[in-house]
Amino acid sequence: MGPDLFRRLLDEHVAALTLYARQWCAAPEDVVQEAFLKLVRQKLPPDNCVAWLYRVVRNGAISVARSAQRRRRHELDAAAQTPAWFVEHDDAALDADAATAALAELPLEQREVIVAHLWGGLTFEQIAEVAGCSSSTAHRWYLAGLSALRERLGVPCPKTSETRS
Amino acid sequence: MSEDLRNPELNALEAALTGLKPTSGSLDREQLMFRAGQESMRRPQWLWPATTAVLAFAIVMLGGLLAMRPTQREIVYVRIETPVPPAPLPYEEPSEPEPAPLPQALARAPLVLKGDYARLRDELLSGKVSQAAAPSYFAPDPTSLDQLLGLPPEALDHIGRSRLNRAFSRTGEPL
Repeated sequence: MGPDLFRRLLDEHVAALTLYARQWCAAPEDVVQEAFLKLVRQKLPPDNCVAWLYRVVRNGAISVARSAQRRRRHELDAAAQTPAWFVEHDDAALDADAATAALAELPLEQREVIVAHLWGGLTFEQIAEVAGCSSSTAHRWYLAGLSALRERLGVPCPKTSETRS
Repeated sequence: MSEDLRNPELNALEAALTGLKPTSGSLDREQLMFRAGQESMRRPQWLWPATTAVLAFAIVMLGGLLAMRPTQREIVYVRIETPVPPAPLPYEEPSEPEPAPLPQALARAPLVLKGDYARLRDELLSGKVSQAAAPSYFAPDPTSLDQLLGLPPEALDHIGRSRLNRAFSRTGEPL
């Protein structure tokens, strides 16, 4: 793998991968860093580097979460004190903290699919391959998660200004 | 599916959520790039151990083959006959021809001289007759009979001289 490709992957996907890894563990940075180092160690680069990285990050984050089961209560506390998931921006349509809280309340599988699709750019077929499920299941989880977020965040309809509860 | 993705509310939510930029947390980009460079230059750990194992195996195999080699060797002699060029003939200097051997008759038998010649020779050799007085038998010209006999000249008459001449000329030997 050339340094240019590696640098481009790092700049474009490191944040989304960190957000993706937060769904399982409280220290996603280590998991993401190890995933990129594993990518460098590969003799031949994968066909789809982005999907490969999401799979490695997911496996790494789950492994870290399983090895810290006895400290789950402390991890939850640590997760509550972790840095913000999103960058604060005044022009954003949604509040970052509110979006963070709403995502944290979603089931793991729904949150995983939403993060991978919206911020990772993966297709439902790729998400299905990473998560080990079918593409239709991934799509169903996605819609369910969006619906739950819409209800929690109260996103107004663009056609009408009324907010649906 | 109960809801369609083309639902405007869901599309709006998607757009709003996509507007949020996730943070990379405490991940150090420069440190990650440095470590990635180190990982890309790291040599495989199995290279030298594998090389050592292969060389050790080769040494053991070669040593075993050397130890199992038979000590006695069968030596086969092969006779190769090559034509030997003839030796050059030694140089022989031309030698003088040996004198022809005397005929056996002459070699065994002594010379026997007959007649007055023999007597005269003996007398000459014994010193009774001086060499000056001895007639010369080697004169190319035939000497007169008077001289041969030691007679004064004109001692013999014509008839006696002719008879003696015929006798000498015929036999070639003195009577």
